[in-house]
Amino acid sequence: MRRTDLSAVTRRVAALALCLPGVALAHPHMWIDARAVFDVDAAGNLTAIEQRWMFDEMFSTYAMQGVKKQKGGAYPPDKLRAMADDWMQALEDPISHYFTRVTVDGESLKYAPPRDSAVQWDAKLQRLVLRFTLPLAQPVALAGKQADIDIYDPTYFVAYAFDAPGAITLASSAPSTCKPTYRPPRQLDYATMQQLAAIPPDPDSLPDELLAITKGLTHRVEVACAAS
Amino acid sequence: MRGIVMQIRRGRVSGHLSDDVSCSDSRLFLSGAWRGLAVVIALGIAVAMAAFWAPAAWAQGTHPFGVPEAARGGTGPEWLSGFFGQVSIWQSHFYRQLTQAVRAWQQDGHAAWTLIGLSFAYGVFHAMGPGHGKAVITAYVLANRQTARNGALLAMLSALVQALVAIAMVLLLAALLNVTAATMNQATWWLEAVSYAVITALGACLVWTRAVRPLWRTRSSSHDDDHDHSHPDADADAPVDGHAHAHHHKSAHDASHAHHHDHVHDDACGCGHAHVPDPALVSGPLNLRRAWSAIAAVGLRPCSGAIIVLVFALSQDFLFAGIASALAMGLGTGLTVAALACLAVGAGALAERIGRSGGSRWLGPLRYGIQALAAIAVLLLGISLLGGQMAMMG
Repeated sequence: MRRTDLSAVTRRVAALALCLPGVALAHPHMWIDARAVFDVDAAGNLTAIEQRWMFDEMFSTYAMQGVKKQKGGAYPPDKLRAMADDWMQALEDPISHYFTRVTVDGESLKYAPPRDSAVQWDAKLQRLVLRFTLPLAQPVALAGKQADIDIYDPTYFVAYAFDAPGAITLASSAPSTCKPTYRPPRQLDYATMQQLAAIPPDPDSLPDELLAITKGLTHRVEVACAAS
Repeated sequence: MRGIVMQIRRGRVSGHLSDDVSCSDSRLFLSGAWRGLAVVIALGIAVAMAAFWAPAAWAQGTHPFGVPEAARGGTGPEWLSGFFGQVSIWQSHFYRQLTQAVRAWQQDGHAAWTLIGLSFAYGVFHAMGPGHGKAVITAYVLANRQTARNGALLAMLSALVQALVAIAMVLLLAALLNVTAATMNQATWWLEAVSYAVITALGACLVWTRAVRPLWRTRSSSHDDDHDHSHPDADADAPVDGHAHAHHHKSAHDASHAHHHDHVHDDACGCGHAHVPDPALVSGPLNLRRAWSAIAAVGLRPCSGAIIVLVFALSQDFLFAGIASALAMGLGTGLTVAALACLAVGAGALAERIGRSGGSRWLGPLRYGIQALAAIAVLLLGISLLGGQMAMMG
């Protein structure tokens, strides 16, 4: 089922549906074990975020259903390439927008098109991995400032975890004055869940309201560089 | 048909709800001053059952990844949203353990019960979260004044069909044809679309028979000369299901209408009217020929959790575990929705009982109101689901 064979409509359905079963399949949740490397250049500018998302086993298996393995047990590279393209295309959607939000001084920063996207199959763990680098449209100088990076799905369909040691790091080019601080999401208490559930379904009204409501609920990384 | 009109107008209704309700017998606890309160509560529950789950449908299709009902937690009053949030957490808890449970069973046959138990629990919490299936079933049951037993049966059957559809889909598409996930998603999408279309059609039919036609009949019925109680078994039948087969001998006018309506219902509409004719038949079997539309409406849309477990089990060369899991999920879902349907019937019956005790004048309108609201809820739900589905295409 090559994308080029599909009509515009079915291609869109397929692309979205392939990305997350939520389109066609309303119920399952997904779990992603995530890692992020924050590219801070030698001058202390945040330039990009390298992300690595490892999907849970059940979703991974489902996503690879019907994809025939080559001799030796590896999945064909062109299939993995097509999956990466489809996923990146779906993630570009203004509402999900790579499930990543970068804020400096209360202002959300824009991204340049993502690069280095790839899908890999971890044969040992039987899990699928999506990698991509999300560059900022304009690198932002962090001297004396703090960048807040939230990685989350506003709908809580996807649950992220940054549990692995070293899941959050700075690129080696970063000046020693810069440090990332990881703030795990607060446990959901009853009152918070209520607030969360009150988020209107209208996606246009999501971003700003969400920021206030979900404060403390996301996996937040604060990258700050001490003024030198 | 005239029967319902007469009875609404005269309040001469003698239902048999005490016999209908097997889940709860309100006589045991209902007395005195509590009645007023009970009326409010019962009515509230009855309407809420049908309507509160519906708004979740609006959320679908607005998100690029299709907002999942469980993840969002639904809309509605705050306490309900909080409840859904908690249910969603429980559900995830069970769902996450399914992979290990499949493997454990593969190693050790005794571990089968772990998977089955987890799947059952997942099914229970799946059904407790917001979703259209239970809304359709409860509203259908209320609109048709189904018995609690039939409502429960309806819930169980639709959950079984849902599980079987998931199993059949995975057997055919994944095990036999080995299609990709994208193709399976498309297949699911179409099943959903058809399911939503059936709900819409069912809702339209219910609105016509339960909300519109009774009003129209009230206005067009200008004389009072026929009587609707000549048959002992017609007594409950006429007000209950809106069919007038008991009365066609009354006049030529009635006869033509009665036959006409019966015909329309059964063959064109198929929107399912389980009659609640008389006490002896109240606990009778569910009329599948009539209830198929409700079962199909809910059952056609396979449970996505089941599909994913099935595909996972297939990948482990242990499809049997997936089938067992899907059926256990269906059982959990079915039982939960059955309980909700019973609750809805009980609430409706309680409202009517109280209505009757407070003077029979209000019973007809009350009955009409519950049925009409439930019918409208099904239609709105169908339209919103179908709209959301279509929006995803664009």
